[in-house]
Amino acid sequence: MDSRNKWKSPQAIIVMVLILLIFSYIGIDMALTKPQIKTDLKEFKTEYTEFTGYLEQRLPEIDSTLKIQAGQISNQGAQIDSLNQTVKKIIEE
Amino acid sequence: MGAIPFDKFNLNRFWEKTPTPLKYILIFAVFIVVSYFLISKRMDNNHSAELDQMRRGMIATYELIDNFEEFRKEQDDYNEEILDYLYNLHNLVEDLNATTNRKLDMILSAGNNNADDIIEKLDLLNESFERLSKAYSPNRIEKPNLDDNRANKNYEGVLEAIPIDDDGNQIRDEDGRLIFGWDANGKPIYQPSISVRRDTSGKK
Repeated sequence: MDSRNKWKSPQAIIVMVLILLIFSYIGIDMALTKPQIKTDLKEFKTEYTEFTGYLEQRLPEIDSTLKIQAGQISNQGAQIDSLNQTVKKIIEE
Repeated sequence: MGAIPFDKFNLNRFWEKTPTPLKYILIFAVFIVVSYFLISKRMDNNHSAELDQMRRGMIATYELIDNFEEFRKEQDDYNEEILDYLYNLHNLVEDLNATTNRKLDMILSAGNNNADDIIEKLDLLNESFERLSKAYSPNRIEKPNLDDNRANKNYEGVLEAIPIDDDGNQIRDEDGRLIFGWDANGKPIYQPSISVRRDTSGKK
């Protein structure tokens, strides 16, 4: 059998169809999956931008809240000290 | 029954009659599809899983910050209450001390003169005691549930020194006299046992 006839033989056609099917499957799968991932990434990027904005706004607030509460606790300590001193002074007198 | 003629199919003959470039392309295609499933597909799945994981982390952070907001409000209220509580307690101690001193000074400086006037003034002072004890009621503040709270333990006895009823009023006996506690025999104590000092300020 010469080479021209080999390319037109049923075996060659079957193999070609097989190869075509394999590449088509990969192509279709990629065409379906990649845009999905791209959309997911875009959504995530938006969510992440919102999240970082939210954190940038809230973290200083949390920081200042903790500082305020530290101040309040320090005031409580000062009040307790002052009360103790008063009670001590009264007892001594 | 019809049988499929597998005997006629020969893989070697089939392979022999396939053009050589096609054989290489087929092997290449098989290699690509295996690589695609092993690497690319797995990477995509990992990618999606990683995004989901980060999303869960973000949601958890949002919830954490919301919870912090609630905690901040509770803690702020609690701190304010404690500050008020301590401020009132301080004032109460100073007022009680000053009032008791004034009472004692009045008794000492008056001798036996103007007894009715002194009794009237003492009644007024007792009323001020009552008002103070009403203004400062231990029930106004919810005690924190902290077992190791030393302040709570230290001031527990002091806070319960003046007995009050459910309305926050100081308990009185049948004659209407204010009760400051009971002794070991169960008899009412009418005068609080607070140490006093002589008034040296010169104010009359």
